[in-house]
Amino acid sequence: MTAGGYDGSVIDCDVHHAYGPATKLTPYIQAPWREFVSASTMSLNPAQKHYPHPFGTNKRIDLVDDGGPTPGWDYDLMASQLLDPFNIGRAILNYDVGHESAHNNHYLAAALASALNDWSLDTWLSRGDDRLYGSILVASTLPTYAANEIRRLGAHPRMVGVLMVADGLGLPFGHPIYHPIFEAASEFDLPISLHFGADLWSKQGQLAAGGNPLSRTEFYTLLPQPAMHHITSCISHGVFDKWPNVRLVLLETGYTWLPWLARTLDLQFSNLRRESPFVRNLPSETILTNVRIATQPYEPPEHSSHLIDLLSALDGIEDVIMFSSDYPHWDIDDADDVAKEFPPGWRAKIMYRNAEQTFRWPATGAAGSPSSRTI
Amino acid sequence: MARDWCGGITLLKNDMSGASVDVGSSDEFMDRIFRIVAIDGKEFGVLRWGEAVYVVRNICPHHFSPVCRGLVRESAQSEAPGTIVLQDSPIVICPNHRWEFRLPSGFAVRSRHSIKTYPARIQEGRVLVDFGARARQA
Repeated sequence: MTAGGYDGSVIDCDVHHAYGPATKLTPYIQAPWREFVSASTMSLNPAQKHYPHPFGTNKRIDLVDDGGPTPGWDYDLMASQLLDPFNIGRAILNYDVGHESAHNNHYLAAALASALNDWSLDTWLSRGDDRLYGSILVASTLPTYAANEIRRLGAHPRMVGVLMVADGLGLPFGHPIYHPIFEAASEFDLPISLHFGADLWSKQGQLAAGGNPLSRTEFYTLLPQPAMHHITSCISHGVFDKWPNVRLVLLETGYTWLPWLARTLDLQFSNLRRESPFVRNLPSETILTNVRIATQPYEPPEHSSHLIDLLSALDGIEDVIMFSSDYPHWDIDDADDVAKEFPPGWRAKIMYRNAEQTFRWPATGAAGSPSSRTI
Repeated sequence: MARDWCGGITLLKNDMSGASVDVGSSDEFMDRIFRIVAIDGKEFGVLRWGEAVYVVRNICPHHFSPVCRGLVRESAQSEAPGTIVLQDSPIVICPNHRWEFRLPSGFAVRSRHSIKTYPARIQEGRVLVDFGARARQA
């Protein structure tokens, strides 16, 4: 299958793999937490307290075969439903979605993040399919623990980025308390993916301004809010000036709002430069070099030209957007559907090249020799 | 709110002789407050900063706003996130779009633009400005 006028290899920045029953993860949990969770009836994944889904499952309906393996839990099913038909040369596995790292007991959260990383390496990333890569999941609520986890696994050739899924401290990510995480990511030249949503479980974090939403409709619609906040914070507090090779990857936030944010930040930084003379570049320039944003959920305009007009308000945005499917979740975007909505000259960048230059790939990869990054 | 400028009170002529123009007694220029003087119908801002004195054309290169009616502050610099160091040199912040210009160079902090500057000094209690040929072009 060709991807809507683009028939090259595709990099999928956001694929979800899951361990299924808790007993599959328990062997990877370090003491004392293994005993804690084994003796408890609590869920390891607080997302199971999520809003009830009107479709009864968060998997795409046509991927579910009653009696068959659950999409996301099974490698062969993923290969047949995603990797093979859509020519996915590289897929980044981001758990389901790693909400375990957002438990209110921050030490347990850090232990579960480590367990998930080891489970992913042991059961998915070591099976010999060179299309599969992973993210180092960290609990952002304990930044020094998170930095240690990045340093524990940062050199692993199958781990190409860091993943954070919650703002459990209720502080935007530019706050100096998070700097150990950026420092460790910078040491290993790893981008940090932000996949919001687990903020719902913490006592401090808040997904949306005005209070947490009450329904899935509100939840998904408002996911850009924390993305705007954390980008603004990281730029304002000089994260990219202190660690120029740190990249933020926004997952599942949509992307049509990005030009507005870039222009507004430019205006306010020009007005209020005195607050942050350590910020060297215009925010719009920093966004082009240090921020990347994934396509899912693809935001369909009434006419494709409207989408391009909207995005073109930020010159160079075709270098910022990267394809993601969100497999196997209910609102998956197929690669061919997404590619065809962008101008032909953008497609290779969005479907492959931008991600190739953003994540830290091993020196040689199955999908060809990675080119050097330009950041 | 205290203003960082006062002006419109001094009307002078440049005799184009090339000699310095006496724009007033230094006592008339409050420290760190722009005073706007008009010479041959053109406005200039005169700023006393301690023992130094700076003179600029009162036009921002951005939208030709009266830049000298903006705020005057110490220059803010930084070598690391979270740190701000104030330096004993002035900047003027245009009131219209907040462009910042360093004195005495006149160069903008964040762009390649600049405001026009003129050599000035305090001599025997008088503020003397060398407009030279530039004033005719201003």
